[in-house]
Amino acid sequence: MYALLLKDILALKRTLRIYAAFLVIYCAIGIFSGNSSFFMVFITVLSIMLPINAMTIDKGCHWNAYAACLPIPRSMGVLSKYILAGLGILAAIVPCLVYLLIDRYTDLITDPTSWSEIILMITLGLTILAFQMPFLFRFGPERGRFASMAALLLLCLGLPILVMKGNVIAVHETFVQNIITQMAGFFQPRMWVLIVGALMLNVLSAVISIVIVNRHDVD
Amino acid sequence: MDAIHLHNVSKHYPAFTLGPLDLTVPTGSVVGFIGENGAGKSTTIKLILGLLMPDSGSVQVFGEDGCRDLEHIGVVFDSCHFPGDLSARDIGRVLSASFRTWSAKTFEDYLTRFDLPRKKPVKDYSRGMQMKLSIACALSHDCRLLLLDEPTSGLDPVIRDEILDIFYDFMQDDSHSILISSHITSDLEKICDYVAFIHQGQIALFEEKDSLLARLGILHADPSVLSSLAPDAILGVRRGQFQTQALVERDRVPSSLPLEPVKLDDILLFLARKEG
Repeated sequence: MYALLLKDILALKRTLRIYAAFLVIYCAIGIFSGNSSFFMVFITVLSIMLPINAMTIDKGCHWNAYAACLPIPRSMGVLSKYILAGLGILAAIVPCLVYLLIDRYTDLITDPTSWSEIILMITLGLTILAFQMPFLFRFGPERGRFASMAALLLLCLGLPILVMKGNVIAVHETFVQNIITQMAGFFQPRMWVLIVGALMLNVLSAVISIVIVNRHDVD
Repeated sequence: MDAIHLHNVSKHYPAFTLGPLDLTVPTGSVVGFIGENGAGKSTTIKLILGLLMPDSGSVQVFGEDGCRDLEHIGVVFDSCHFPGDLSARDIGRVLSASFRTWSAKTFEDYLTRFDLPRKKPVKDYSRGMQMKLSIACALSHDCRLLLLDEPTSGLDPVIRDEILDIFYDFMQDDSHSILISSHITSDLEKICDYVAFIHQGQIALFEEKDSLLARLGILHADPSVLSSLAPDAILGVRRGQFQTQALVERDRVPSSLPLEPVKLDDILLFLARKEG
């Protein structure tokens, strides 16, 4: 597992440097603008992209065939991709903590990020990760990315549209607009449920991904 | 105990079927796996490694079902399968965390012997350097079986010779075995104990190399002479504009007919372009 994670980190060196640069830049922008919410979304999206980038590199050089010849179970290859994204999301928390500290001791932050917003963003990131990974393992990074996006869109927009009987404006006002605020309000007293739920989803997702990988030939 | 034993293995694709085939790599021997493009060499190696699941039959490696003991198997594919941004040093770090028996010193020695730069990204290596790196990786842990899929294709003769020398060294230990697939039959002629010819997904011939080369010969003759021979004495015929050649069993041809010595290349050509 460590070997595969190390390989991903080394192969993504350049991407991770850019990721780190964005962390610093948006940290600074957040401090000077007094608002960090956009930064949090951006970093979370970048973290979710990490396993996609790693899998694209793997596919380009046929690493999966080589990795299958190493004395490491294939399931470890699956888990390493989840952990890679998880580490990226964790890294996004660090600047958020910096915001919280700066907000606590200075007046620089005019629109501070709350713990509940941070937890919500992590939850959202982990949920999207859990949703997309089986698609990536089943269809590969290119087709899998589009398949997961299409499925996610269908789920997020299709279901509300069905419920709202095709009233798109109502869907936008009710579900899309302020969805984070609404969710934050709903889960405020029990934020831990969100994190546990997202982690459980990832466990389920990893099991599905492992089954997919073990059932298919290695390209 | 055989290093590899395939029994009745088959794999079906929409446009190609491999097998059912039987193949054995005896411990302590080098088996050359010869066949034209698309004959099924790489598919067979992938089946041995467990990268593909056979539709039927059994694969045994070191006497166990499937390819379980990956700690003692070294693999070299026909191209470098490492991410291009990794350097040899990075790859050494990754593989030392993968293999319990990884020897950093052996790997370092190979890098020196092959004159491979440590910090240069693999994507900037020449093809020869990439193959040498793959071989260095395969030999830097306690490897008892080498599976080589076209390791010398696209390399110049000097590098090929250098690589064959390494395989010679590897085979100094009686417990070591190699299965090597290649188009370059001259390479296989140098190092193989056995040769397996695969054609359209079937093993057409599997025999000890020296006995095979001693057993077969090439006959240049008129069709009327060929028709006087027993049909099963002729393994293949190639008709040219001016001449007809046949791959024949030496001891089943009258001694009055002159026979040319055969090379693995000739056998491949006769089998691949076999006439009825």
